[in-house]
Amino acid sequence: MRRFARAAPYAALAAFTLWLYAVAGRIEYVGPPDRIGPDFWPKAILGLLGLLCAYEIAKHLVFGGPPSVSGVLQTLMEEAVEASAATDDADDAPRAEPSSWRRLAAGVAAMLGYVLAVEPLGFFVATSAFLAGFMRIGGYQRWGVALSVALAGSFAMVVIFMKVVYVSLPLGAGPFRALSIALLAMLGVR
Amino acid sequence: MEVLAQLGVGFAHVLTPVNLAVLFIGLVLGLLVAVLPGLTLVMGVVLALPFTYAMDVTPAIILLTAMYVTGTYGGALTAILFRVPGEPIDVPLLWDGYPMARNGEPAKALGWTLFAAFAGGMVSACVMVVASEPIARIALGLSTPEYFAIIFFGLASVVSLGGGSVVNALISLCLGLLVSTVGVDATYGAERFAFGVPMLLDGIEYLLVMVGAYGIGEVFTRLYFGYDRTAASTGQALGTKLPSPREIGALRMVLVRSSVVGVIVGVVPGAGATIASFVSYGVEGQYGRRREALGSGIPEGIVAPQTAATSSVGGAMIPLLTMGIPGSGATAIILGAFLLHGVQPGPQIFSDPEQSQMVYAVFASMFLGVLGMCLIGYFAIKLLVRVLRFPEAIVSAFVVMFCFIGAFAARNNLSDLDVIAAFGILGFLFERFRFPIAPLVLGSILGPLAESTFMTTMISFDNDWTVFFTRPVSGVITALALVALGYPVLRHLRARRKIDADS
Repeated sequence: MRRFARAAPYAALAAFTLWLYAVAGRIEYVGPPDRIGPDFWPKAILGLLGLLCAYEIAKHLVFGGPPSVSGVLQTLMEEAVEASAATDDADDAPRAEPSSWRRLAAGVAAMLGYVLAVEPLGFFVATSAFLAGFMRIGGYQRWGVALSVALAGSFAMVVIFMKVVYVSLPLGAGPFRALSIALLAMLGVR
Repeated sequence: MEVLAQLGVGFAHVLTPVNLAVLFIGLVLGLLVAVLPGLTLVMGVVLALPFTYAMDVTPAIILLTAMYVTGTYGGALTAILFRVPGEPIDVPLLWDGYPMARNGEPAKALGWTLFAAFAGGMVSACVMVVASEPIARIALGLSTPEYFAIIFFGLASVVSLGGGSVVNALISLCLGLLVSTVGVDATYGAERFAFGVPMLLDGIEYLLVMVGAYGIGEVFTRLYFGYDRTAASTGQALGTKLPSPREIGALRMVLVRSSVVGVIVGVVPGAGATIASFVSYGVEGQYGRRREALGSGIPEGIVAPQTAATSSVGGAMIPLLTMGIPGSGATAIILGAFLLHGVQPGPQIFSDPEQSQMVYAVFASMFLGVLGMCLIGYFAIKLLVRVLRFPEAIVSAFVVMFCFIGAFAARNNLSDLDVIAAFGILGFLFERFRFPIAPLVLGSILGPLAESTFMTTMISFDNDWTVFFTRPVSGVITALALVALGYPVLRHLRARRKIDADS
């Protein structure tokens, strides 16, 4: 079962590669027949990608996943870990929270929500909400501080990007647009 | 002599109030990024990019280069004092820097780091000034087969030198190259993998791949694994004790060795400061006078990795400026800044008087930047270390925002946010399943150049692919690329044979 789990990402990638190869075969162009066309380069890359996936699938399913060939940095890092483990005190090891798919999912949802909301809500409102929410998802417990930092940070970004760097940030729609325009008028930005 | 005169003009350019202010801001930001939890050197340079949009090209490059230089030094402070390496570059400093600090000499350890960064930075700046123009002159004579061979070598070294499995690195590279084929192809004008979506017809900007995979991907990864809430204690007395001239004299060979290693590793596309730092420590362990004592907290173990890491910056800037080929994440962003300002780095950059002046201003800023970095590092260490207390959840939220603004501002297109969010998720999956991100990013950057040089060569030489092997320069470089790809396999086979023999 573990073998299948390890081979699964490569199998998915192999299927994606096959589909893209078929798409590359339908690339239309006008050019001399004796020359290689615009499909050659992507097909060559996809061919290599397919071979690599096939190798990994075979490695995991047939041979039980023997150790991979590592890059030079990987080897150096492994030696580093061994060397530092010899001199470390267990008490010195950095402590972090346990990994959490729920926290990650909340973070991704907040980000996608921001991408969708920034156009109707405008930069200032959407950013303030996103910053405060993301800090909370990241485990920052003090709501008051998070909200103040989010509001001050969003305001500072509006000042920096619209008044200094001249980036045209989204203003929003309806009442949010009116709010953004009032904010910009206060800053002297037209 | 002419180089010195040009450099003098470069210094005059940098010593204007605007450029000096930008240089100072770059140095401070670089140090903060290196010390702040959750931020890496490359991410820092990515986040600074949107601030350069409204600048002229010279201050923009000065800002990013200053951040790049200081990013190789700032993390050393936390590695030595708190055993918190800012990023992989600083890991070798844990073996001698931290023990030296624990042996009651933290000020001495910091002093050696500071001096090593200064020496490495100055040597690499000198090499950059002396070598760039002659290399650019040679590059002017190169044709497309040679250019393709150089890019192939760069991509091969990214795969073989990187972390993780070589097969995963190759897969990552292929995906990066594929991303660069999306849109309308440059040779025939054919539509590829656009599926009728207007956004895809314009192609996927490598900046979005980079900001998404490096910036957002790293935030997702840290969010998944949980932020470290144990703030380092900053209560201890902090200071820097510089080594005496006699002590420096005793380590002169270490300095020379490490500087040479740093510059050479920096020049190799795909290598960079981390590899330089590890290789230099390894060289010291192999050839150093006190190699047996390495790991017990001796200055050689601090000087070797730090000198090499900082001197790799000058090395990495050479292929970028002379051939337009970025060899690392940070230089890729600097290339992006050049292109956003309408300047294409490459051999012709030294032929254009205006652009040549800009390049020499960047050279001059390297000298001043290294000096400024050391002064700030010496006098502001207490303030810098206090930054460690900053909650990572707040830093991460702002990192996401700067990534979004950076991506949006490049084309003023809101759909680019979808693209970087998608690459952020891909970056997380890469980290989770141990696929290196650097080949993906470099593949998306170098892909168009690789394809256009390959296609032009095929058209010019009647589809004869042996041209990459039969022309002297491209033949040597292609052979080097194949050696680079084969080296990890040979290492692996040798290690397995040794294990078999032992058992």
